[in-house]
Amino acid sequence: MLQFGSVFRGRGPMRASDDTSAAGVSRETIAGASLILIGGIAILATWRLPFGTLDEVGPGFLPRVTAVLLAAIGFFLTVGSLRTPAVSLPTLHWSKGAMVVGALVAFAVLARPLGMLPACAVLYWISGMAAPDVRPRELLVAGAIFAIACAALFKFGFGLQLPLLAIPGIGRF
Amino acid sequence: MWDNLLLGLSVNFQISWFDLFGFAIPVPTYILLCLAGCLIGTLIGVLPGLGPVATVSILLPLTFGLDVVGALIMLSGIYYGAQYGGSTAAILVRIPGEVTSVVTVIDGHEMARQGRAGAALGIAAIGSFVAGTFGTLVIVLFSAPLSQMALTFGPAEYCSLILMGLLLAVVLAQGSIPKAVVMIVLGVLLSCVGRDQETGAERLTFGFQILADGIDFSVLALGLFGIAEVMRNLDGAEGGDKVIARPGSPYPTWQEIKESAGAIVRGSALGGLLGVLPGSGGALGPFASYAVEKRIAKDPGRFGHGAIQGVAGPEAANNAGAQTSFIPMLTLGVPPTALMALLVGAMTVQGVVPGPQVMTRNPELFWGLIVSMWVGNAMLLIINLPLIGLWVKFLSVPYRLLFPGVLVVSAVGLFSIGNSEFSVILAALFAVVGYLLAKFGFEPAPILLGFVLGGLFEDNFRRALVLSSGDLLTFVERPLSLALIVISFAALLLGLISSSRRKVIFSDDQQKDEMWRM
Amino acid sequence: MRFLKATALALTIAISVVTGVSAAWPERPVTVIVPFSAGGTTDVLARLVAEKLRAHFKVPFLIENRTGGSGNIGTQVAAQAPADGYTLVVGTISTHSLNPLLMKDAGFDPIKDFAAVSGLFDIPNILLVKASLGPTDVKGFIDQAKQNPGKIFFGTTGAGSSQFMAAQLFQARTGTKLKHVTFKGAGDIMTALLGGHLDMAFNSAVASMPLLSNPSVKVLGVTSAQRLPGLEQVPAISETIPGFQMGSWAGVFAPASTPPDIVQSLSDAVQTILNELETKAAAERLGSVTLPLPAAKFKDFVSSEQKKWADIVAQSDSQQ
Repeated sequence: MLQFGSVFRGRGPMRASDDTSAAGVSRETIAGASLILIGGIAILATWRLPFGTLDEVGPGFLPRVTAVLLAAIGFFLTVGSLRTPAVSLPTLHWSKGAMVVGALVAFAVLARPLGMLPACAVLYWISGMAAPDVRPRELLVAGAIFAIACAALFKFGFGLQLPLLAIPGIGRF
Repeated sequence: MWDNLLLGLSVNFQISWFDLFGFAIPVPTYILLCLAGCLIGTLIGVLPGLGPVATVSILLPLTFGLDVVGALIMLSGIYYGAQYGGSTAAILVRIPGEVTSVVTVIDGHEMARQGRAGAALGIAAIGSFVAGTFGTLVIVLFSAPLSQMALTFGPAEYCSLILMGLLLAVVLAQGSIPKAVVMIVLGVLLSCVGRDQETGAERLTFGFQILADGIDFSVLALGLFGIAEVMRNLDGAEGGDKVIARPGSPYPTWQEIKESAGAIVRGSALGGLLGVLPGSGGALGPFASYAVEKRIAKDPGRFGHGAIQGVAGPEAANNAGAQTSFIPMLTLGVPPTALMALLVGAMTVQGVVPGPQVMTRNPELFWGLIVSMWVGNAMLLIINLPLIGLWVKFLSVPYRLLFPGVLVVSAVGLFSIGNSEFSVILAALFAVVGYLLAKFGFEPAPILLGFVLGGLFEDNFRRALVLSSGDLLTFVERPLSLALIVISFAALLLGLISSSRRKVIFSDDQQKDEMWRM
Repeated sequence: MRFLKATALALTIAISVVTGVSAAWPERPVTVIVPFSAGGTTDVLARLVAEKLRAHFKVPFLIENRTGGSGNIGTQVAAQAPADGYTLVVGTISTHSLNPLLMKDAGFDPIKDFAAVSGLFDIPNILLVKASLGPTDVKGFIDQAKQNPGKIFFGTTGAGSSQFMAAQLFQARTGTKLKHVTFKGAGDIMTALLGGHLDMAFNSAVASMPLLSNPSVKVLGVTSAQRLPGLEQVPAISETIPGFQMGSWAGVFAPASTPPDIVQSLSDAVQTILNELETKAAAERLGSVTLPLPAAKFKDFVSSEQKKWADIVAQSDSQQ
């Protein structure tokens, strides 16, 4: 009998972490649930868009069809995985990822008000801190050098319309 | 024909005399411009975010000072130079700069992780050169019939072709096929974000004016691949270098070159043929080549884990396609892509009206350009091969210093897309998504394919239906469209049957599962 | 002593505020926002003018491409910029007429938020039909369209594009009904036309030029009021339909409360530039004509365009 869960996860030798007795949550469950969620949001967001007729297919057609498809597959994924043995969920190391994201956000926020040099340097420093073998002094120097080189390349090489350095109240260079 | 080629060669090697302090200095201007274009193109291809279209548009005004031939030679050089550079980024840092590099990422980066980055880069360069030569030959010999063929492709045919592409995408899946399907569908959904072209209605923009023009491909690709890759590497238990160099020569071995020969030939043919089709052709070439190579390989299990044919074929395809995409512009005067439109603009501003008359009225321009394409490819090969040694050295920089650099360059490149910080934030968001996808056992590559093809599919589908006044049968009434549909479903069926027999799908998924279970 | 310095400082500030700090405009680079991507016709021509303005005023006039939202993003940014004469925007028929009419909320008011400085260029469209359709002139085409309402397909790059508005105007003035098909770009429209998949299009002159000598396509007319220099063999549609005129125009705008003397100074400079032979030749090569309308006339022009298109839009009911 074809079990949906195994279709997605694959047959093969049982893993040591599998608990043969209890059926339950595995990463496919969460994945499936997320898909249902995304599909649902998309359906709601495109609710008012006209489906259209055959000779004038409307803007709601493709989004709604794909959203429904997504939610449907998500449903089968969730249900199927619940019926197969529970597997330990993957561990996510939030801190590293958060630092990368944070660094990028910092760049976005600082780019226009302060210019490329500070933004690039800050991005380099914050994200560099996420490395397990980080050396702070080395990071500081490397970041400064890289920021200068990068800013110069984009400003003079590609004419990027962003000042190198902008000191509020004084001026933009 | 040989006369024309000789004319083209003479144009390229033309020497202008410059006056320097009273001395007349001979300068082979066009060769230098070609070199400049190739170098700039390679650079922007390597740098994530900045694409050839953006660069050509920035540099376009600078070319007003040049004459038409020079301007076109340089701008074209930028275009196919970017293809070479894009492969480098795809292999080394897993960033697909253009749609055409997405496939290279799959096996190319795997090869890099196994210490075979040099081999991957080398095969990409060699394959691209062979394909470029092939492409130039095609232009010289078959322009006219090929452009006629391209014209017979109406919306219905495009729709069927894209459907074929979407079904082929399933073959791209290294692991579970249903999971790949999910990713493709997600990609299609993402392609719906933005203002609907026909009605002007805003779809899935949630009030953000910036999203009205849709999600930019680079933002999605950089986020999902480049930045997510950084996050995944940081998450890994090992904190060392991710892409290692293998001891000994960094170049591909003769054995590897022999293995790739077939893929290169097939990829060139496929890419060259599909590249002529305005609009979507260029994107489909590499995907089709990958699918074909995987299909005819004796051990398809290698694909996705560093199969050199998975790099050679698609690279040849994308370069051949880059050359043949000039055909509609040269023969009909119709620019098939945004970049070609810029080149047409460059020609028009200088008073040259593109189209079939160019061949007769400005033969030096026409043949000079064509020969310069080949010269450019040769230059790129000569530039890139030694560069491989440099790149491999570059890989020995500790990762802790490398990855922030990748992020900085990506961020600035992303900012340059529309001069907006929103692109950076959006890419960061996609990076989180990409990271989660990997953790939960999903492949991100099909999302990009679905994204690119989804939009194209919808446009052509609706267009075909409008033109047929709502008659769905138009897709099967038109012979070319019918043929494409039949081929795609046949290929899909064959693929599913044989893979279930080989149980390739499931065992691959098993391996991938283990890798991310931390 | 300190008291004197403070008073002097305060007086200087007061005086500069009162006179609008424009005593020596321009003293530093001026930003010219182009809400479209670099390389397009509008951008190329704008860069040409910017270069000449630099020569005239001795300060750089820097083009900043701020794309997005069919030109709305850049225009919005300009509307909200300080009105000190250092930010200008190249507005077009799209940003300053059509978008506000066709979109529920463009984010700005084209009349209230801007001071019209000067006209720049007008890019007309050309009526093309596939040869196999039959008609060889505008009159023949109108007759055929009247006999086949809703059966002739025209291509555009979307509602609000110049191709679309030209077709709307055409249908309104001739009482015909055509069927609309959207394409991604002008190049795709040409390909479809050449391949016989599309019946007709009002494509921009630049995009149409390569096809003029192609036997698969027939060029019926231009949408400018008179025949275009360089394309004299193509009749103007106004010769068959009196009063028919449309073009994708572009002009310079500044934020609403920019000092009038700066506006005037700019306007005069642009008029001079537009009358130069070099500018005219460049425009001609790109299938367009110069639109040398000084500030007051340009302001009236924009208002009249607004009204004209409001009527057409109301008639065709393409509001969403």
